[in-house]
Amino acid sequence: MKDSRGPLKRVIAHVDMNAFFASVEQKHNPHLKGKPVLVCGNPDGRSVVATASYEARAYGVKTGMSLWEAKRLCPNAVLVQCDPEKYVYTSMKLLSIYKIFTPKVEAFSVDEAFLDLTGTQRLFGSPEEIARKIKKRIKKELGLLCSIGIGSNKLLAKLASDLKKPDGLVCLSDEEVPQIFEKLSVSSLCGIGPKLSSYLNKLGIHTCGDLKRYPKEVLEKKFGKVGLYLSNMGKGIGDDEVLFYYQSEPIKSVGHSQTLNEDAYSFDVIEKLIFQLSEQVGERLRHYGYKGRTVCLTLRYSDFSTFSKQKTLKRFIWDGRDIYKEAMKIFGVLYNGFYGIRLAGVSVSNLVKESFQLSLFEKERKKEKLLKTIDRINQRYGDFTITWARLLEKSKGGNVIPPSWRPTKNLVSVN
Amino acid sequence: MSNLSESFLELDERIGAGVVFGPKVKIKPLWFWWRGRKYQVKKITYTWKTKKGRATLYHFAVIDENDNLFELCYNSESLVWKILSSA
Repeated sequence: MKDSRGPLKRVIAHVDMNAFFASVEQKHNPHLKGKPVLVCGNPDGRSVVATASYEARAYGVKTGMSLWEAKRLCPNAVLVQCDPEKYVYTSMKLLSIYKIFTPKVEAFSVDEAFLDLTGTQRLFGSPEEIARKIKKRIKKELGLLCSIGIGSNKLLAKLASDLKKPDGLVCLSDEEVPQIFEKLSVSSLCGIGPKLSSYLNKLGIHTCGDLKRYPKEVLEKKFGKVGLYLSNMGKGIGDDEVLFYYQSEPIKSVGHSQTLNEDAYSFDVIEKLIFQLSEQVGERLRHYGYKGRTVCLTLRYSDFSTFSKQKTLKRFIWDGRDIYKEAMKIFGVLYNGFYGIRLAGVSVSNLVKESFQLSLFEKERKKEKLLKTIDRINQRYGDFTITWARLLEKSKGGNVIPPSWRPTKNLVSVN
Repeated sequence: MSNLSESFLELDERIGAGVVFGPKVKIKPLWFWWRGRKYQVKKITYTWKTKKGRATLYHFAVIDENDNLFELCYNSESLVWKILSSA
């Protein structure tokens, strides 16, 4: 963006919903207001805390903590089972609120979004005013609280939103960055997880100030391209490109995984789960119009060790049964036969957009026709309305929203 | 609805409902009949939509006069109202 006075300074806002799932449940059920609430995948199974309300956090409960540990810390907590569809709907409502202020709205996860407010000031006021308007609207329409951070790029906006919770509004100017970053732990920056943070600590990098001063060339040598990115992060320089709400990153792979309620030792149970996951992957591939030729199987054993193996085929596939056949071949190599299976995941990558070219062979044409008919019936009456007899009793795992969740185009509009 | 309190009951039963279909608030349940009793909706605490195939399911978390919480659901295809939980 440019005007006669030169390029406009970027203004990025990061909206982070406070204890999102728990807040939605407290709004849904007013009896839960003011109580410690734990939203979890499956309260009867080996679930973890998906979100804890602020009342529960006061007891030391954190997201990702195992349920038994959370209950030990907070015995009075009310357990609420995760309701992904409710949260996704609410998330779409939030996106529709953001879209009033800017078309550049990028969902970062189900409860976080980046907004590019560059150039919107003449319409809606200063960035702080816009943030206040967004907060007011969210509270009025959905009864939820959020924290908003404003900065000149995504890194700073995200950091600013983390600085005050709940119900915060923090603007981080570029002038403040050197002073704040000097003593800020590197683990506070989005993208630096516990592993990378620990590695950086070993290099003597503890704060963003340390990161800024560390020789860029050495970082580049150790981390490749990421090293340059890290060096910039230490200076508060980050990505400032916010996608339009109708844009999305190209799909690189399609996968499904499921944690079982109890470890599976039976070959039948594991095989059926892999079949179900393969069918789900196949259905989604066809829905997006993609075929893929790399099948990956992931197994997590009862001791939490996790293994993945993939196989690249000569042909492109999108039929769940073909994916299943390949996944089972991998299973034969991967499964150690000693431990129970806690989680299985199937994914297909190496994707190409389906050209819908008719096959030369009648058998293949019939197969495609059958799949299309099944898909049409399921699209009309709901998933798994018609399926293979073996999948009539679907395996049930915890209800979760994957971190990779992004709104699909047909979900963007919510009335 | 998924509150796992002791009184929580997961249900899937057809109900009769008195509803306003209006221009401002699109669908607003006012009361419902369930198991031979009429429940007056005091407050709608939360609404959301889901899809089942082509059908849109409108979900309503409602509180009756005795502060009991229910989840009601309206299927836009079958035009059927259901109660999905009570707590």
